[in-house]
Amino acid sequence: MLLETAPRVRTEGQTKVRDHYDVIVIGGGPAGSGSAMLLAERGLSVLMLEKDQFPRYHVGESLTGTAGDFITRAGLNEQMAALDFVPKPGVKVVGREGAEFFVPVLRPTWQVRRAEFDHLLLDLAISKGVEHVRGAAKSVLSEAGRVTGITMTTAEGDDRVVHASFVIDASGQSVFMSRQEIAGPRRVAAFNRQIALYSQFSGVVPDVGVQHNSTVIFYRDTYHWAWLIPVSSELVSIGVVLPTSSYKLRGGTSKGAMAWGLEHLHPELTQRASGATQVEGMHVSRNYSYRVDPFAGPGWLCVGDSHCFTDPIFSFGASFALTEAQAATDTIVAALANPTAEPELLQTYADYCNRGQGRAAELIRYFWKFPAFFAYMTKGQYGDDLVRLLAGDCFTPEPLAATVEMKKSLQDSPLLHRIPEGRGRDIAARIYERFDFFQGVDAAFLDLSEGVMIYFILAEDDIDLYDSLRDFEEQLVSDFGRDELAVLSFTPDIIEAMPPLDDAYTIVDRRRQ
Amino acid sequence: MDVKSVNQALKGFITDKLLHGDGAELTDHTPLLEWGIVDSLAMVSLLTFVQTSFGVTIPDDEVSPRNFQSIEALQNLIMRVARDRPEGADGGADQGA
Ligand SMILES: Cc1cc2nc3c(=O)[nH]c(=O)nc-3n(C[C@H](O)[C@H](O)[C@H](O)COP(=O)(O)OP(=O)(O)OC[C@H]3O[C@@H](n4cnc5c(N)ncnc54)[C@H](O)[C@@H]3O)c2cc1C
Repeated sequence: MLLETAPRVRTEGQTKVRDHYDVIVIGGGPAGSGSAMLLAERGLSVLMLEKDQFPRYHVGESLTGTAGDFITRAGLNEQMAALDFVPKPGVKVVGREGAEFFVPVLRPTWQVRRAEFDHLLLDLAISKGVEHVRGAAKSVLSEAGRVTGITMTTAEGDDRVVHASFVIDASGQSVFMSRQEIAGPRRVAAFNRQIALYSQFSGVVPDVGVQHNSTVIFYRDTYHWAWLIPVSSELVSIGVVLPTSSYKLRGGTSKGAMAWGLEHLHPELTQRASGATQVEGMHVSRNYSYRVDPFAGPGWLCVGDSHCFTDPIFSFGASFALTEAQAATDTIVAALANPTAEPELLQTYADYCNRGQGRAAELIRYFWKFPAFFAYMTKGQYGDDLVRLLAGDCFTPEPLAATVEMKKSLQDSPLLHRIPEGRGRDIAARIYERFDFFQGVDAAFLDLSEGVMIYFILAEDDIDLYDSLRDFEEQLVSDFGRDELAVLSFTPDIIEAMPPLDDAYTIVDRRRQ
Repeated sequence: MDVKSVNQALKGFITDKLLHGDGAELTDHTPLLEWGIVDSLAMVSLLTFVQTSFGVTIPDDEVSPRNFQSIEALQNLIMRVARDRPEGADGGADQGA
């Protein structure tokens, strides 16, 4: 009896974990450390789990102005400089045919080596009173539909049960809550089917003048691009990004694709990297664009990559994680103080995140669809708005004028004008908005001669694509009614089975290019 | 400068220079951007063509996909800019009135 009720005495080397915390944070990246430190500052008890030993390598070295603000508020600027991180003047975007523009940062910010930056944030969180444990969350505890804690395994291999008033999923691309089927399923998004190869190099020729140390984006054909990010006074991160189909054509090895990228993406990249030496192994990420929905519920919410990642071209990832961490903190502090308001607070949080992520996705889509116009936009009346958006100010209550303008251009296609106004055209607009830039969907046709028949041609047989189409169909049915509406999809091997589409409207056809 | 001649000139330029003579299917509503007829390189030459042929300089603010998506959109843009922002030198004939 005595043995059972006595507090467990832990031997040396074992991790101390209490039975209950105000908040458990799963993951110690920017989303996790950011949330944990802010919650601790607000007086809450916080347990933060991180499965990896820090410092650990991570992609995502270029930060926007909102991250710069966070760093300044956290009082880290001196340490950032001491770590030889690089003050970032802006982003330079270089395309074909001499198209080039430079967007300065709105507020001071940095280029970082994430291993050390994430470690710095983690240590700061610990110094604010966050309890940090090395270990992995394994499952979720819930009672009557409310998340009440987790089970975990510590780095030493001990299994623990920990309760909390609130659980934050900040597990990044592991999408923990989604895998536990607490959050919604992970669904691929428009910029999926990309592969990125990246590494750090020394001996890269620097930019000169005001653009010295800026992030450089080199782009060629749609979705073929590279980044160049100085991450210390010596080292530069270079990444090459390609559609997976194109990667296969280049031989399908990371080394081969990197070499191809350095040689062919842009002459300036070739020249600047010509004398460079790769100083570490090659890293590879693929199929990293997705959304999880819903991503908040009773007793839990997701922050950062654990619910959404769009496309890295404008370096929003770490900054958005920190922006969302702030919103999550406000949400949780308010919900714990006033439990009856929790559903409403969580809805406000979800809307906030969706707004920011949605505007970033529109910006990226506009860039790829109209790169030349994007360059003009940075020069005209919308120039200041673009500076703000690229600084990460995508979460403002009202959209900036540039966002409204871009959205109009994205929605207003002459392809849609040919379709008679009404339900058919409205459905066409939805197809266009969703699949115009959706890799894996090669073409979409709309036949209105008998009911509403939607035909998709898919690049290949892929369960993720079918899931996306099914979601889309469900959404259409709920918005427009089931009436004579059907969605059919064909892969190249069964294309002969597709009926002749003489009377159908072409909404998307990438095979043309 | 009237709509008709602007329309003709644009069609001629797009057929000759951007479609390499193959403009049989080109209409006022052909989706120029969607079908990749006007890409970044083509846009620069199109802007130069508009400048030299009609004496109209399209301001940066107006260089937007909505104004370039079809021949109809382009001709409306050119007419509007010519009307709202007449340029001294090239508009000489009109000024004489
Ligand atoms: C190719 C590419 C390029 C990018 N470039 C940039 C860029 O230039 N700038 C930028 O800001 N962003 C960039 N990003 C995005 C950026 O990497 C992420 O958006 C950012 O790291 C998100 O932070 P996070 O804290 O949500 O997730 P992460 O930083 O991934 O942190 C999640 C942490 O959770 C831990 N974890 C996972 N599961 C568990 C578990 N069960 N238990 C305990 N711990 C767990 C992981 O070990 C990890 O440390 C890029 C992404 C890609 C794919």
